[in-house]
Amino acid sequence: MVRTAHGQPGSVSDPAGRPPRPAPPLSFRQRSEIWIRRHRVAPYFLLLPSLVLIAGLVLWPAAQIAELSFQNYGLPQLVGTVPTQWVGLSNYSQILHDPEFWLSLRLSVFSAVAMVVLTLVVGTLVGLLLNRLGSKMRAFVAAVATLAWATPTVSASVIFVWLATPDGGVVDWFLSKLPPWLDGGAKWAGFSWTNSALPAYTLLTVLVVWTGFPFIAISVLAGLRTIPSELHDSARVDGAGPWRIFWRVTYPLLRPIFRVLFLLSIIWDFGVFTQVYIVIGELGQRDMYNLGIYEYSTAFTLPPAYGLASALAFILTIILLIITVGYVRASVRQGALQ
Amino acid sequence: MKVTRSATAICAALALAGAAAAGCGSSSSPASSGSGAAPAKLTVWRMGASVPSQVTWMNGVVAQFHKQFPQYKKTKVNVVWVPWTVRTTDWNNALASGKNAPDITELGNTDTPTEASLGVIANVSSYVNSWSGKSGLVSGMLANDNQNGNYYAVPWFGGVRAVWYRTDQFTKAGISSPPKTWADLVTDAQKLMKTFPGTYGIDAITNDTNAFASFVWGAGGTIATESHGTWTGDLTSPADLTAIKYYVSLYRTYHLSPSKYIGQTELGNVGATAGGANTDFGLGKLDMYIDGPWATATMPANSTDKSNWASFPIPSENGPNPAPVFSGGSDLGVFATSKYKQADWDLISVMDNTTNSTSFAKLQGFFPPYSAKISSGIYTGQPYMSGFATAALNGQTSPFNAKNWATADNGKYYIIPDMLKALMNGAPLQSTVSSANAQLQTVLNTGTES
Amino acid sequence: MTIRAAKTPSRTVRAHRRFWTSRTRRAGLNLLGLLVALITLFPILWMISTAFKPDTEWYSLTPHPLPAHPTLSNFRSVIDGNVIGWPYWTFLKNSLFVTLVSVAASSAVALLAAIAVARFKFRFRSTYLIMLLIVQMLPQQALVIALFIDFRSLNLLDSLVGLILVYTAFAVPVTFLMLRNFVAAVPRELEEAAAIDGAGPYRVFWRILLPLVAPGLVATSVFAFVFAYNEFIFALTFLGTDTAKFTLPLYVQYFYGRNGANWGGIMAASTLFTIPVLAFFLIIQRRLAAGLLSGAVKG
Repeated sequence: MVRTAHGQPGSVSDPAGRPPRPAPPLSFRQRSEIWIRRHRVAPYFLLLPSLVLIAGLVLWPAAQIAELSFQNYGLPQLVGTVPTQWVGLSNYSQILHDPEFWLSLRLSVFSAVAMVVLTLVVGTLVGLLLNRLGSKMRAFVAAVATLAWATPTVSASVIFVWLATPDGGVVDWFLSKLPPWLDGGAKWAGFSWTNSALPAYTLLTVLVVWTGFPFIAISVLAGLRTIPSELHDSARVDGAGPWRIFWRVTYPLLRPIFRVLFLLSIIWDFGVFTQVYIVIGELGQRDMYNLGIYEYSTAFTLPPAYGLASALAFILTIILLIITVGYVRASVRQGALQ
Repeated sequence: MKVTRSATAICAALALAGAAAAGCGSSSSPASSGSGAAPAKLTVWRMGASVPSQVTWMNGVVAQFHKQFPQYKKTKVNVVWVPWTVRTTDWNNALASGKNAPDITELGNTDTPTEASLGVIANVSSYVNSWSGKSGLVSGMLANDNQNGNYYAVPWFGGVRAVWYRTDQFTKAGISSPPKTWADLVTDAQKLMKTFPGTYGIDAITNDTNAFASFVWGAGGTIATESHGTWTGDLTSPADLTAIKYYVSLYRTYHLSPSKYIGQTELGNVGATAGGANTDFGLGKLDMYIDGPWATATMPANSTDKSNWASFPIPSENGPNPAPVFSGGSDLGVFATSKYKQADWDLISVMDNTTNSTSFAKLQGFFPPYSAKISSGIYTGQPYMSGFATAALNGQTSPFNAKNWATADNGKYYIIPDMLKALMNGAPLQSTVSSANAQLQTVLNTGTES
Repeated sequence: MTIRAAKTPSRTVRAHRRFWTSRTRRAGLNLLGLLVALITLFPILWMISTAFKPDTEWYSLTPHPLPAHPTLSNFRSVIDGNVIGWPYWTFLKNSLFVTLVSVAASSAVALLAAIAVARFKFRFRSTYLIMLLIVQMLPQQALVIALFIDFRSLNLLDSLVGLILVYTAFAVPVTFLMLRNFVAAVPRELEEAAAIDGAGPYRVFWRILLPLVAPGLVATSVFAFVFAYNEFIFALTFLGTDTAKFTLPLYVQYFYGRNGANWGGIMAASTLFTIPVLAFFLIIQRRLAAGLLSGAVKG
């Protein structure tokens, strides 16, 4: 970092040759600075606040979740009337035998796959489009896309529920006006999108794609800008169509970016909570729970089962961490540790 | 009045379960805390949504409270409204966080056994046993609030459900008298939908087991039965299956109910206080609506044809008697964490004295908890109450008074609502019902899913 | 003018054709871009339009894009807050308080850490970086259980301070990763030159580093702001039923949950919550894109 020229202790010799005067004593500040520099602990002091915050509010709770998952911890234990009971693996075996767990896991996996794939596809297409547009139009479309990305999740969720509401919703009206060969027609009038899992998660997928594609699009756009245009031109001269150009030229060069975006999207979409909470109408519809909501409901509805919920939370975390390992490796390869 | 008779049935059932009958001395007394100190504020949790007439009533009661108990002259009484469908979440929140807990809470009468066993409401036996109003209470209603010889709440009012309709609509559709059998119900609904195109015949919602139970009981079935402390689920019995099939057919076969009601309560989505079938009935989009007389408070302010509202009891499968109905109602309990239990009880004793509980019941179409008041017929002059009054003659509570019923039905699990929902969405009958039945049995007996 | 051959068109014609095709193509792309923009913007526009519609117009059989009789009554009911007992300004105040404090705190903490990592080589540097990458991925709805139990014993439930702590901690990893690139981009020579001129570390920080990192701080503050302003799970769990302390997302959700059919009101609440953020984004959009492109994509 910064080298200072503050005075070093020592004698000050007089050019006339008289005996050296003893140096003035060092202040505490000077002494501590010397100590810091000698032991090279400056970075540790700088890291301390972030370490304290993260260790206390993220790492320690994570360890507690692991610990709680082996306990039977409910309201009596929370209030203190009954001591904690260790139950070993029985929470986990209860979960593995619970059909609701498997249903919520299935919902989480399938919806994450659909959300990630569609977000990446739509985002990439829009990114490619943005790359081809004139600068004014590009700025306009990018600005509009940013608005969708910036819309708070709570707002986006209630807007989409309103759009899909059976009475007065635009979606049902639009679908009922479609011609029969597009599968439209009167059957869509009054169709409720939020009272069974498939329509609800379809709605959620559209919602997540709407809020998620701008980030992908702009990242792809940034990546496309780094590709020298000669590569595209020479491919075009060789007679390649746009599809081939994308797969043979663009995609291989952008693969590192796509890898990161893919992994980030999986992590975000597998752990989606707020949107699901609002679209399925809070916690009243157990058949539409994904894994995160199921775990939350186990912990925070009466009677609360914090131990069982922690086991569910632990499973959710492990799944995400496995994916994260891939992300960390890709990031490191991309130079995150530089 | 028959409410008393059904209350006797409750009492008998509870006596079977080992609960001490009303009047047995209790051995433990509630923790007395600060019985002399006057609290600065008492928080009362009321269920539902705020309604001006109830606000006025409460203000009157608070004035009486201050006069009757001068030591609480400075105590403010704060009323918080909690929708029914989130009450357990909010109680859980209050208990778990230790914050924002009420001092007094209204509870559904079927909540009381569950919440007492979970430690949500306090043991108020010593207060109840020395209360002058105790002797006039309907004994069955009071017995419901008793667990292991201790009282945890007192009954506040009772109520039953029936079918709301409009007399002018019935006349126009050529229906001379309300239906008394299931087949008639379907035919009448079809006639109404034909005469008034664009409306729904009846609301076949999935998340109101209190109403759906009448269909089960009207076919002669029981939802679950208890013997020697163990519950057995009866959803797979032939009578129950008949009822389930009929209810689901209202939507799937006869299309009398729209798809949007699937997954909803009678008030709309879980947590909502309006916006569902009640709003539709009030605005004329729904022809017949199953709810209690308290629904007048949840109807939209701009409802059409209020003067033509009337009620008839939910029909049984083959008539001519109506189906048994769930004897619902609310209790008043002291929250476990309240620091001013004496003051709480004093306020409850004012809210629940004979005069006030009767005036409150009359306001909202409920029945007061005092036998004398019920038998003196308090509802002359309110034509739409006649159906409810008839229905109330045949009240039933089991299995709703099971210790874990609230957990099984609308607290943590929504076993019967989810089963109806799956069936209406096309799930196979036998497997869905039997897995719901197994789950119901487990939760009723143990309080958790496994 | 070239003589027209029988089959090969003239240069001019070819030029015309090329020009026409490329203009058609550009028009086609522009149309596509416009379509994408309109579809993307539609939900937001519908929200605003519904917010101004009186209740008679919400359920009209044919949806109309613009309200026939625009009204402010929905906004009035949201601002009065009768459904919850507190006016809108209470929640705005709570949200801004929590957001601004946690943005400031997380930026400061992350900047210090970024300086440490960008300017020093020390033994646990890689460990720290990997820990931060992993911590980003721990799901909030899993940690909320333990945090709830901890906050209960620390008496931090029903408290905005508890929220600030959590928001700060969760914003630090992303903020740090972005700031690190910005700090690394400041040339060391500048700092060394200042040091030779006799400046102490604090002065180098304030006079040299901070001004150069300022645009990065703006970009990362935006991310932290958006995270804290929109955050839902922790607010829902830690504030419980203490409606006076609700933040704006909780108010919108409460309005939606209790008021099932009051779509005008729900959309008005959502509008009042969303528009400040969107306006803010439009203003800083250009700066943000630059920050995104240089900072975020890499890491």
